[in-house]
Amino acid sequence: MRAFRLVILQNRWFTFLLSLTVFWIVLAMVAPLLAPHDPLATNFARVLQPSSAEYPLGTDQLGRCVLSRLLYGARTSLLLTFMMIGIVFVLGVAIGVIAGFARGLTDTVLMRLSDTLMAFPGLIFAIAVVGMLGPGLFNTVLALSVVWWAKYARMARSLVISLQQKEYVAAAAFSGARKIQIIGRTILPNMISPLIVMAMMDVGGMMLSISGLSFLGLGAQPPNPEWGAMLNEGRRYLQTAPWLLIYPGLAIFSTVIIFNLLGDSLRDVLDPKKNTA
Amino acid sequence: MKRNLQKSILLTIVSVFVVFLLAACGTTNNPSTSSDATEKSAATDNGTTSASTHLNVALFWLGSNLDPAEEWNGWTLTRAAIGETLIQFDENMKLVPKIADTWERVDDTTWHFHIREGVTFHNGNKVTADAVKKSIERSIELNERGKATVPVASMTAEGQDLTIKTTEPYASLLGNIAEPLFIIVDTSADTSKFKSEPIATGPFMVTGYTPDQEIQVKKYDGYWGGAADVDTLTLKYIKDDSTRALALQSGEIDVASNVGRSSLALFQDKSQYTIDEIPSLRTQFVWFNTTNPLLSDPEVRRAISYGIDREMYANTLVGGQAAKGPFTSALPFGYDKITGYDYEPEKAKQLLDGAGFKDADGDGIREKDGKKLSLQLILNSAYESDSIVAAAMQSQLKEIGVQLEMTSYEDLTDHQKSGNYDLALTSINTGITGDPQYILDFYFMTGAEWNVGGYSNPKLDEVITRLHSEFDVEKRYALAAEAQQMILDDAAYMFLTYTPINIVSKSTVQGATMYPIDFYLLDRNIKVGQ
Repeated sequence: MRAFRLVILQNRWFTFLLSLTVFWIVLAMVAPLLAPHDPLATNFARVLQPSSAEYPLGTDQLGRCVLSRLLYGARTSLLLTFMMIGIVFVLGVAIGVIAGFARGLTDTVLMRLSDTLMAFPGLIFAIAVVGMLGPGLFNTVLALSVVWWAKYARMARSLVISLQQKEYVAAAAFSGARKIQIIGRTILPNMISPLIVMAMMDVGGMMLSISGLSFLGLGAQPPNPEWGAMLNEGRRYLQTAPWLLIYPGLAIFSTVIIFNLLGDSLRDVLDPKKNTA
Repeated sequence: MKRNLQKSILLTIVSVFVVFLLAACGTTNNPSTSSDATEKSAATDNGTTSASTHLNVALFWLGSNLDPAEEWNGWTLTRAAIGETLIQFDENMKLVPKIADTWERVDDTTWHFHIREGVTFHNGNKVTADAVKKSIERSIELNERGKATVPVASMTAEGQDLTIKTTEPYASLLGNIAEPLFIIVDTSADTSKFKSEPIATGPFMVTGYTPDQEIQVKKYDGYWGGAADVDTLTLKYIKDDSTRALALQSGEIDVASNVGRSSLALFQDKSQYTIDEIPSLRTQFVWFNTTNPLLSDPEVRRAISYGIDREMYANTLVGGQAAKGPFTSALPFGYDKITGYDYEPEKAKQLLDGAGFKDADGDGIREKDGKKLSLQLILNSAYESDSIVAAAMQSQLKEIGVQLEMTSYEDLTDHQKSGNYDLALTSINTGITGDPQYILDFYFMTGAEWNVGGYSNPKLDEVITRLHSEFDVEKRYALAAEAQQMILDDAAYMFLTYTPINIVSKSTVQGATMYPIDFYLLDRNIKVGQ
């Protein structure tokens, strides 16, 4: 607890970013309480209206409340992003650990597979996968996960290999610990922090990828609000009703930048060299 | 050090924010940003005496290739004034002479056309009755639609006189032969090259073709009506409505048709742009897949038909007019005599209750025997009016307990024909032959090519068959009205709106006229004014 307080006090920038992130997440969680309207409710009498007291951020081409859609969209975007991080993290780390421990043929097969995946441009590959499976949020997450785990597997593998050389791992082995214990108690805790930093830095990129696929009409399907999909729907009104693009655009922009900066400063916080200084 | 770096990053972000916001305000306040585009075109205008004139025209659709006998490709050729038919429709949907200068019906099955003297193909060959005959034969041979719309028993050509005998009394022959499928081409030329360079008779001839992108044409000096004013044209395929509007605004193109409704506001400045908007013959409609067990019950289809507010779609969302039947009020095919569906959500709910669909689990979607009333709607969302109407339908149908899932495809044709959908949204030109028969034959007869929803009503088939041999115009229209009412009563299709069409051009461009029938776009009169 004391260490945690120290971290908070010593890293104001990190704290600031963390509170912004928490703010966004809370906002998304309490969206039903905050949203002035049902995000799916159309009001054809008030189509494409600029911001007013009733509709703080205006209405879209079907008279839906842009603010409500943004708030609900935050749920979709954030939830999906964290879900994906979860999937690729677990999948990638598991594969990486197996490869790093088993070495030999298993290692070669798994790593060549990840090399192959990493050779593809990620988003293009995801588009191809979604194209085959058909559009939809679930398929988007699946497609992106298929591409994304490789990075984590590589990282986890190299960490496992380098940690195995450490004396304390050798000590654990000499004292009779089983392989599974070594992995669970000794290696995993020591490799987790660089992986978490990596995951944190990835949040922004993943959010962009999900929004990007939705923008192309492959992710979230109408009428579900999602920031990228909102951009796509508002695209035609770029000049006549710019608020349809500005607000979702700003939402994506700010969230992505907050998560990127947070990841960046998390790395600084967890950097052991910095703490000693 | 670190702190300073972070501060400067933060500052950069804040300033980017501010710039974004300011820029956004700026664009809303003055939408005209294309002044240099007009300057550019003005510069070319001044040079008309010496330099050659060029226009860039946007096409909203481009088929698989340029051979008019294949699929619907002929439509592009008539729009680009590359190909011509024997006769064509004018602005009032009356048939006017083109390659044929006179024609008459000799008896119930015999038609006579006189081919205009002095018409030549792009390669200089003379257009004789024999050449026309071979061209028509080619279209019939290569296209299923040709066989069905022009049932020829025999054709005889003598000098400039062409006589067509049909297999049965066929009242709609004239309108059908005006369809761009029957563009007259030179069959003595190398027809294998027609996919990229058709030899036809129009005021413009093809000089270059890039599939899915553009067609380059130049004026044909030997055109029978006198050579065109403009020397060269580039026809660019821009399928997305809003991209087309942006291209027009940036000056990349000079003429565009079917500009999205949301973008029309950008072209209101009369000194820079001319907007020509007229009611079209296009009907936006939905196929019900009647083979789907959920939709095989006409009561369910009726309920859905009552559950959508066509008036509102037309008035506030996409423009045009609320639809009753397949034919617009601009066509005299019995619009006044038929009864369509109004927005009556209560009635819709009753019908669904009656059909056994009830929301038992409280999720807002009705179900029957454990099957949810959840339907898949396919559309091409590049068409603005389709995507907006689809979203509106989705929202309104949800209120009566019907769930609509939307799937968008770039090329809908395959998916429509596969029957792999519940509802399919599209819009078609229902006046294409100036006569109701064509559409009734192709979209509503049992087993017809475009009756992709599997709808079948033997009584309707009989009425449509009677139409084939009825020559009295008034009686034809009465039969058409009868057929339409049957289709509506069965709720086999859902007619939504009659779409307006528009053409937007730079104000310097003259001679671009919108026809209600969208076969045409350009003709020899297109020119760049001073």
